[in-house]
Amino acid sequence: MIAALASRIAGSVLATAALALSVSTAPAQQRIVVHTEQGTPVVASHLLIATGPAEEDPPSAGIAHLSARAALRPIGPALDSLEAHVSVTSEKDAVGISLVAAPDVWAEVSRRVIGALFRDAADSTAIEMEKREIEAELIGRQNNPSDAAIRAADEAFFGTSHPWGRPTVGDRVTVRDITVSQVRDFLREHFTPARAFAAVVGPIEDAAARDHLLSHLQASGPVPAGLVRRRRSATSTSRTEFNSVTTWVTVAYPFSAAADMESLRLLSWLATHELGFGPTRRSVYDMKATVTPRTSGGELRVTVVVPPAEADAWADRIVDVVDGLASSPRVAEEWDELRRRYRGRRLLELASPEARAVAAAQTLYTAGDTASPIPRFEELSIERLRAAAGRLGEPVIMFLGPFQDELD
Amino acid sequence: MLLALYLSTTIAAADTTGADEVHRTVPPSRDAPAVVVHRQPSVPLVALRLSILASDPPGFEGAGHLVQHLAYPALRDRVDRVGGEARFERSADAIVYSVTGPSEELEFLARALLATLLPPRPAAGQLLRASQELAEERLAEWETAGLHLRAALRAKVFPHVASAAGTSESARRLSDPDELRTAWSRIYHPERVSIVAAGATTLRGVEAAFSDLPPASGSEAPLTDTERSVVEALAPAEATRGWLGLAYPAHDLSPADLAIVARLTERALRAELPESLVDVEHWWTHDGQALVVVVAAPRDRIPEARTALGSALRKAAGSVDSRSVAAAANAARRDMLFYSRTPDRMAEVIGRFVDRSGDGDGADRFYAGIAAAGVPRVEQAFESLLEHPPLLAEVPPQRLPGR
Repeated sequence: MIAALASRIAGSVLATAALALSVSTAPAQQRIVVHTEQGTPVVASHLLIATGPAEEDPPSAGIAHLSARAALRPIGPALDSLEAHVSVTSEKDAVGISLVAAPDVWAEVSRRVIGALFRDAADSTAIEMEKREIEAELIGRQNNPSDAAIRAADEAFFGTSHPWGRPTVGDRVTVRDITVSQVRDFLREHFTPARAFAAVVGPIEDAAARDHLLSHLQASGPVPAGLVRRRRSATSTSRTEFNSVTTWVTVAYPFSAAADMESLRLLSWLATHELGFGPTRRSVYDMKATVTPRTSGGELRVTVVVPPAEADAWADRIVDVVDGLASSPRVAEEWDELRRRYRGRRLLELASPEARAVAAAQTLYTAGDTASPIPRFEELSIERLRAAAGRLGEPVIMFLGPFQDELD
Repeated sequence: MLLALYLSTTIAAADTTGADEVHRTVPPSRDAPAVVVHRQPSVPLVALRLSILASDPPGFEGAGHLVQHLAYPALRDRVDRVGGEARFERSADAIVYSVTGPSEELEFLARALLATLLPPRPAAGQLLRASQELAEERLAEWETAGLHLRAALRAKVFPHVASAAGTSESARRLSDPDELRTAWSRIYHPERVSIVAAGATTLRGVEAAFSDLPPASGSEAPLTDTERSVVEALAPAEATRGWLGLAYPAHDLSPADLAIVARLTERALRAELPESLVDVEHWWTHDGQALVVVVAAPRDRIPEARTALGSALRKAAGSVDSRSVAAAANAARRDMLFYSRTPDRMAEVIGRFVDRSGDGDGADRFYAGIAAAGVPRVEQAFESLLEHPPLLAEVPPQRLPGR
């Protein structure tokens, strides 16, 4: 099956067009969404700044992530004193800052965070300390097979010369070599209010939250639109040697910006049940399926951890399951029960206000949509599921670990 | 100890929406539970927390928790059918089951919870497995230095309270399914049940979903032994650091003031012992309250830690001012809001107050008490604590070969 797939892809020579950053301008009003929630005890906000690896030079990979952390470090004690919870996450197409604070201090916390990101001069001590901390984190992750599998999958899916093929937070060497002045320049150039997309969730009036954010984010300027499009991968299958006792098998499917996200999430959830550990799948040590929306489309990624001797068979099985699930008679027969169960699981994922803020910010950023982060489950149908599965792009398959021929 | 659990008589309109709405009801009859509902209408989720006041019969300590271990697998699997989650806990006050799932599934979730109240009829293998799980919990109190120290302090502060996991003696009695059922019949009575719901639901809906509690069995069968089991002396735990603990019983102090005293003391002691683990805890159950200070110090820091521990409360009391009290109060208030930001956590917070005091407004009162705390009240709380010598416990560090 994989061989057939490989020949199918090999026939198409893959595009290697130069990376071009198109830009657009979005008024600040359209970059803010507020979902007022009565009864929620805290205010959660998620700020996405449209920058990332596409704007990093390869020797400075990770500078976007480092810059965000270094900018926020000096206000850490002040945020602690306000009992605010702030964290930084880096995606391929944006840097995310999550804020959770009590309603009485939310405005002050967000003002301080925005000031630190967009106005305050980056503190050299903070930059050096963050560099050291990130380096230490990267050392810890270097030999972690799970992290190595993500790095290998990124490289295979996007290509080695593509900025998204690099580790989003850089590696030990690139982070170590980034200078204070580079961070300051990066912050000045790329961390601008015009690139900020904000979602607020909690017991706060829409107008009050919007006015507050507008007073800080009102700025015009270019916003990178679809920072980078994924080029089709140069290979359909990649194998990476790794010193472990199990093999990580990842199959990644691209999807377009117009994809039906909720149906794809349902598909990934169904795949989890078909491929995860169970009485008939005792050799699956771990399994994960994720749907990642990005500005120019996204990715459905399915990973299983299995004995090396079974790796090829499991790659086939993942492809068969993802291709066949939506048209499976069993799914049709059990549709109502499956949708009922999926609704519960999905709502639990969105149980915290910060999870809803992240979902709202991502939808705003990737699709320009200000709808509620709570999906409309009643609109899910088996027809939609089939359509979403049918529109997935060709998969890329990655193996990481020891390989059976070496073990023999 | 059996607590009355009739809540406030205020009944709010069930369908109103608004911030921080808490609705509560008086049980309409002896066979209905007390219900408290916190509405969070924005997300179609509901968390339901069912608690039964802890009252293991003497000699059968751990019975309630054993029944929880027996009931949980079925509860978990049942709730999973609607994509929900189930949890159980034996707190100092109550036997607690919690489920979270779509609010449209309220009745389904409620039925799953009600099934946990039925008399246990375990197969031999189920009982054996649950008993083993309880035995593991008892052993953890012996083997883990932090748990061991707290267990030793608990035995001094609340001498009549056994471990929620019971004793090996009570476990032997509970291995007889008939004895277990009889013990359960003494524990479960509808009037001991309270329900807390948080999420997109209404008081009327929750009351209806829990209107049909199983009746008490009414079994008058004698238990083989109604003498309380002897709480076993803890075997020495092995620790790489020296663990020191102090407990100040504080049954008559305002819980809000005590919570602020705990924060101020912890902050001061952590600054003084940067190389040690320092926890200052506010223990609060239906049996009373205590301020508990736990320090785990490296071997060469133990004398210094001992001195600091002895003077911690007095030093913290000496540096009380309006700024530090306000900072501690704000931190406590915001921590409480942050912790309760999901429906299951909100139900847990409200439910703990209901269990320990029977007060459906307990969480609100505590929150208001913290906001109103001032220097005089906090100073008075410190003075009150210092009037009596604390209770002590210690786990010395083991002798380790040099590395």
